Amino acid sequence: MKHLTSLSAAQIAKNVSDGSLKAEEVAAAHLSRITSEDPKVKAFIAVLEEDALEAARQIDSKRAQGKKLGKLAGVPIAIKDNILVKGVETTCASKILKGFKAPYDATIIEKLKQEDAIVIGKTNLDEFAMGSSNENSAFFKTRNPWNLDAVPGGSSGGSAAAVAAKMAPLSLGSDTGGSIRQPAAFCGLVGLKPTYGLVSRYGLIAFASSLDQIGPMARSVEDAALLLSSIAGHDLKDSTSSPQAPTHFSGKPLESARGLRIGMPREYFAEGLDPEIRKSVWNAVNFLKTIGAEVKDVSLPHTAYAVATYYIIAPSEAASNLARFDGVRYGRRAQDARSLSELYEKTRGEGFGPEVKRRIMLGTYALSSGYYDAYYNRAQKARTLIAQDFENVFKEVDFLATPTTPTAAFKFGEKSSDPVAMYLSDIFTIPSNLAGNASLSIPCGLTKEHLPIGLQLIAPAFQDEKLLALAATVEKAVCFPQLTGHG
Amino acid sequence: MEKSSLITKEDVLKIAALAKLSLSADEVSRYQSQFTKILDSIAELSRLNVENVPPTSSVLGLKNALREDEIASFENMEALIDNAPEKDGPYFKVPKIIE
Repeated sequence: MKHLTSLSAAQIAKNVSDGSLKAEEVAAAHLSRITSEDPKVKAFIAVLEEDALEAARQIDSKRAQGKKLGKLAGVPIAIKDNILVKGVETTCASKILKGFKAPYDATIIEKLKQEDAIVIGKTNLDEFAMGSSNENSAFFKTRNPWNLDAVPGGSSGGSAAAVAAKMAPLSLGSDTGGSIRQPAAFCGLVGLKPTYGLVSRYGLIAFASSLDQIGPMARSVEDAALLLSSIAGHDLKDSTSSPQAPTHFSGKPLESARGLRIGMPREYFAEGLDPEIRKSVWNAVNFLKTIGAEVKDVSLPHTAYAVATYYIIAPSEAASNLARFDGVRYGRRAQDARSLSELYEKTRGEGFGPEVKRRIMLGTYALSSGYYDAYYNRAQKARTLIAQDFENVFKEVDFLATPTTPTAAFKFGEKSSDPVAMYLSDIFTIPSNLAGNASLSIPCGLTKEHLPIGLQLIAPAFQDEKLLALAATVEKAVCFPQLTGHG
Repeated sequence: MEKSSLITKEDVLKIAALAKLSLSADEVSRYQSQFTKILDSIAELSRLNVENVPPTSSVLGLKNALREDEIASFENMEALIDNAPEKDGPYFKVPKIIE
């Protein structure tokens, strides 16, 4: 059944819809792949074997009754475990949520079910999506299928590893400072952070609400576009979702790039960038030149301030969002607390891991009396300047091309003892979250050590369709190898 | 936000109290040294001229998202209460707060 796990999502949906494949066979093949691969990769916190097979049988019987199937007919999808699936435990890879069963489906999960997709499991992440390596999961470390000694990236590391190792053709991640794009780059996938407001976040456990965005992870641009088409759109239950959000994305490559202007922001190619990454990114850009694109050197002068800005804003929002985990309404509660205050303090002290506590503390400090203006308010002003950089540069060019990460996947333990070094691994992805624009990572080569390299393409807000088309064009030229069997 | 924002043990304890986090002695000393390092790494922001720059409130410029305030029923009330670590009928149970 191995070949079924190599099919694209688009192919599965087509074949299940026309009856040449049974949804149950597809689900069973992926479940069996999980049984053989996941003990090594450890992408999943929970595998929903029974639910997935039952959903697949229902889809098959729906078709047998002559009903038309949805866009994702019979496509297994792995869901990051910070997104609610009704009746299923949702942990955020944190001890504090142990035992919490989602009382409702996130809007995007409802939409996926309407499109006849199959939720196959919940994937590992850095606790509350805070981290860049999956080493911050309270449960276990997910490994990179390309090299089991390397991190899969984070925070959507489980979602990336599941798709790279062909345990699912598609997955959902969430991206606050690069948490879709960085693991996509590390695992050789297409990962899209859609424009802020394109996808509803109702039912996503919030980390930093002005930055969080849910998006697809896939082995091809076409599949990423298919998944995006199924989840995009305005939602009354998320007042930050945009009423102008489009809902159809094709991911078809461009015939030619004539007339397209691609900007190469010089701040992203500064010293410290791995030479192999620089070379691969330039190869992809040079290809776009050969098919007619105009490539320009541009500048985003406030780039150097993005990481500092992010590490004030994101923890501040997290400190506020995570106040709800207090041992009263859900999750675990500390024993033997003598007062309400002690109940909160002990529950949170025992329940949160080190990185989550660090960020709650940092955010609380930045918002505290006497420091608010120096930190939070100043960071929100810096954010305006960073967003203006993009506005200005998009008057000159249509897209930006940059590396997704300064290095390929690093080894376990390499950065985990130094929070600042870990924070810097998101240096190229953070600015798009601060500005809210559409941004994706697509594989553009391999290092000598056979680790994937990601090209980041950035477009103005709501140009997600054009961004996917450009990515599909690059994809055709790069011919990135699929990962076949691994150790 | 000057260079080398030295964070004391008392600072860490004060922030932890504001954040309602109980920390071990070990954590307090670890966060103390890491905080100083993190704050140093973000100190560059103090050199940026932000005079007359408005702070960002919404990246898309969305203003108020208004809708009719209509009552909707939530189908799965029991599941909400079932998630509570301690409950009493349809209520969440907490330690006594009024003597």
